[in-house]
Amino acid sequence: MMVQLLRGCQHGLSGPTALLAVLLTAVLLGAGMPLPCHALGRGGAPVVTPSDLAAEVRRYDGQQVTLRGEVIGTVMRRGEYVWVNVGDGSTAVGVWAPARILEEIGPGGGYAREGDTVEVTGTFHAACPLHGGDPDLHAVAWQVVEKGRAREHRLPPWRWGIAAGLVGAGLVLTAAATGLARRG
Amino acid sequence: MVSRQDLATVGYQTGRVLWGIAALMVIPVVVAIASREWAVVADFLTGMGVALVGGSALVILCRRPSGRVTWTQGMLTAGVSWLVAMVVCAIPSWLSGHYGSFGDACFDVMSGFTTTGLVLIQDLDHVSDGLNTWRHLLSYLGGQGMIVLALTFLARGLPGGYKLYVGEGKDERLLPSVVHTARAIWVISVVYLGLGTLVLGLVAWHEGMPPYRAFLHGMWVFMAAWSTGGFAPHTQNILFYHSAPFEVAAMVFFVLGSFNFGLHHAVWTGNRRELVRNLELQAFAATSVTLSLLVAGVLSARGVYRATVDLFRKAVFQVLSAHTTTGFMTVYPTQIPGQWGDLALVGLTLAMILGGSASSTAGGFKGVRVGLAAKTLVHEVRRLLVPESALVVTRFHFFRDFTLEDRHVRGALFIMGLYSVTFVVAATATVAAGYPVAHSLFEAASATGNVGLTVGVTSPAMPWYLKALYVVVMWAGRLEFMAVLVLLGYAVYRRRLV
Repeated sequence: MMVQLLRGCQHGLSGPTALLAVLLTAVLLGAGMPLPCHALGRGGAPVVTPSDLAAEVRRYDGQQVTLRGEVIGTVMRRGEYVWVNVGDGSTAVGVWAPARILEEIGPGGGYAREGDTVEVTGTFHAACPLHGGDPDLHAVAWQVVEKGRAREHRLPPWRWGIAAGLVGAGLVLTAAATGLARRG
Repeated sequence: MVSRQDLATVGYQTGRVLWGIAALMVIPVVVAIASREWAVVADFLTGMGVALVGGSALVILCRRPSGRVTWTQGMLTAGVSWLVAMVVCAIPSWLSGHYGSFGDACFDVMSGFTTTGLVLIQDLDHVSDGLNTWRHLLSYLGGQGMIVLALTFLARGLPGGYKLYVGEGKDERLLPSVVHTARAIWVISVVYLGLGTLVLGLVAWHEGMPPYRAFLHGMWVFMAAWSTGGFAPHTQNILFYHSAPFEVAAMVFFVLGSFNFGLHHAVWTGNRRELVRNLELQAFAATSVTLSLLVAGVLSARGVYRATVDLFRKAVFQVLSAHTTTGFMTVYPTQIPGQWGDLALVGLTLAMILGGSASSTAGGFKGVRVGLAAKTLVHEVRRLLVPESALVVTRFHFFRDFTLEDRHVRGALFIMGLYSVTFVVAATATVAAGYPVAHSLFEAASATGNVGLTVGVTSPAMPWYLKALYVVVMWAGRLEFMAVLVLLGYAVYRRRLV
């Protein structure tokens, strides 16, 4: 994992610059000032959500970013790579990653489960030349920051009672209406 | 004026439509059981129960009316049954917990029925298979028409049923009997459903989805494509699949869906020359090519895409999606005004206003009216250029040969005028709600033309009155105004009820 992250740092901030950024952030926070930009992820890339990228594709075009969000839907394998869609509830971004990412992430989120929350570092393209002009993120490093889990959908018994009662009443009334119609 | 007999007919037919909706809810129940979504089963059983109780009550109270269905009854039934169906169909959607309010659920149901595709659903990526099936089924059903469905299953026929059919925005009689016409429409649609689900499902499977997911996604996307609805099971819409073959397959089906059912029937029965001679298809081809070149030219000038093939892939897909009033997207909503620019926005807005074909699942002005307007323009110019004593005759082909007459022009311009007024009202209200002018024009064109493309105006956070207005605009646009005007006329003059 660390090797992958370090590989992701090659286009990011160097050690002293990152240290300076951390110190500056601390000073700004201490002074009670709002941060002028996104927090920095590992390797110095700004941490963004899928909504941030979708809202400002031109701003982030060609930039190294750390995308944070939930893996959603089916992860689709394409040869040695996979498409992982990372969402935040409002929108999602397609992440093009080596297939070995599947060793670490679980199934994508859907009705039955929350997907893993991941931080993926890579280059964002507003119009990827490799993928037909689609907006996407080419991953170089990733980590699971929170494992996915099953979603509860327990229904109180009274809801089943109402459903059964309505269907029963509906069937009786339908039979009555059909009978009346037959008698003219 | 509207009589009690009219109201009884409307009530009786609306009751039967509700029975049909109860029967349709079996489909999402089956999918929910297959996907082991037990809470979703309860949601749909509740909706089914309400539909059965409501439908039976209306049928019992109104009893079967005697005599032929009149024009007033046909229009009123179309208008009322769509509104009642919207409320009943929204019950399982609302119970799912994915909507901020019951009104939001109604908005999405009307958006589906009218094959618009604008959505207020929240957390779409966690929606159940059952609810996704329901959303797409409503869109598929709305495209063919609920009343067309009801007519299909009326074994003994319905005297005057043609008026119900016209009330739903369709007027092409494929066969002498309207019941046979309705059945022909459903046969065409169901055959394509099988074919489309198979093709899109196989592509999705090839692109890395497991078989069951591929089947569901194939079915959902086909339903949204054929009905020119534009719903999708994920927030990214078609971008989710990251697949050129999937985009191409979806595009083929939504273009086919936007064609007149009469054209499908003509081709199926061996009349392939209609493909070349049909005025509507000629108009569609001309405007599609022109607008695709315009948008592609803008994207090229702005340097948005490096490869020409990517540029055309994006431009043609979005123009055809807008023109057929489908609303599928392969870019983020904010990319259109932000990255593509205002001129591309104008091109797409124009495409949405022009719309697909008459008697199809599409919305907008419709190709035949655009073609007639163009013919009229040429006709008038020719008349000015020849001596006053000369007789200028203009002909056009629309399933058969016609000579252009005033009544053709009047009919086309009347509906185009109503569309334009509705579009201006929706756009003005959107601007008044605080949205930018270009965004408001785009979103209003999308709602009026039953398209579904968005630049981000439509969201759960939009003002409630704008949501309500868009529901009315989508409903009126889909029914092509006549049913809505009759309903409004009834509301205004109900005191004169005899």
